[in-house]
Amino acid sequence: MALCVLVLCASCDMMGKLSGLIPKISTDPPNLLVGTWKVIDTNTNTYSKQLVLDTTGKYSYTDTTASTTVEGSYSVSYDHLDLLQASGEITFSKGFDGHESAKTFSFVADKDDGPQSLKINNEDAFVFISR
Amino acid sequence: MKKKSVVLSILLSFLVMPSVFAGPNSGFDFHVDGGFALVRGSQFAPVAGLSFGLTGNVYGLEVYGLGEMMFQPGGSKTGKNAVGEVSSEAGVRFLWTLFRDTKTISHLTVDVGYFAQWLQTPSVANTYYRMHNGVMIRPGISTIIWEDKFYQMEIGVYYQKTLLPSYTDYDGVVVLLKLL
Repeated sequence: MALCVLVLCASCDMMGKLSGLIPKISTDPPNLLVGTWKVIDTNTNTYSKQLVLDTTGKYSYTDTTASTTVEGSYSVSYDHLDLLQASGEITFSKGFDGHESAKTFSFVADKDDGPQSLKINNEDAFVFISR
Repeated sequence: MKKKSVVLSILLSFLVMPSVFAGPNSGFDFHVDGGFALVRGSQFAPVAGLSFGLTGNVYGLEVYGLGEMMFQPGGSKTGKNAVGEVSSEAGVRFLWTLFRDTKTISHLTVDVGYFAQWLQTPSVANTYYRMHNGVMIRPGISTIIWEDKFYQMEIGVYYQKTLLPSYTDYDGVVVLLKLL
């Protein structure tokens, strides 16, 4: 009986481990924009804006010139989706000024070097810093 | 009334189907498919799958499922855009006999299927997201190279082409060995 319980427990544990190894599949599009992005002033080599997009759907936008930071949630929808080039709309719950706003984006990545630039509303050209 | 006749014609066509494939070498076929594809120019990608259906003297019809694994996800070894990539496909394979003698049979085959690209991004572990998906056609020629009473080995060379929408990364030559 004890042996049966032990075997059962071991198999349960193994099943748990095995199910962790089995990858999940999702028909939703991936979030390619995750990471820290900055608008860099090439003259002073400092950044004027920073946008952090995390995997849980939270964002943080910092404008260093105005000394403001906005935090909230965001969602991404794609018009075009490719690993190296994507475009669509990104909705920020508090925008960049505290009010909800939907902005267009275009994303470019390099095949070997990964994400490169994120242009929002065709104005701010963010450079990819890290994930 | 119209509905009944439609159902009846579908049922009849299913009943008549085996006779289309009738012949001395006709019958139900089941294959384990394995091989490789050359995608994105010259990237080697192993392919594995199953197929089954009816084959006759002239025509054949099979249902198949295939999976491909890419060693360079997203076309790169760095893994900065994608850390894993597989593709899945399911469809119908049409076969026409090109050549037949006592030892071998060659078929002209055309696969028509639905493919999907699945990618794992660096930011989310253990989850594959569907990216490009659409119609795949794969014409080719396959030849039985060894045949026993119950088993056979068949080798085929194909060219796969994605359509609707086109995704040229997956276009390329495929070599498949069909067992059983």
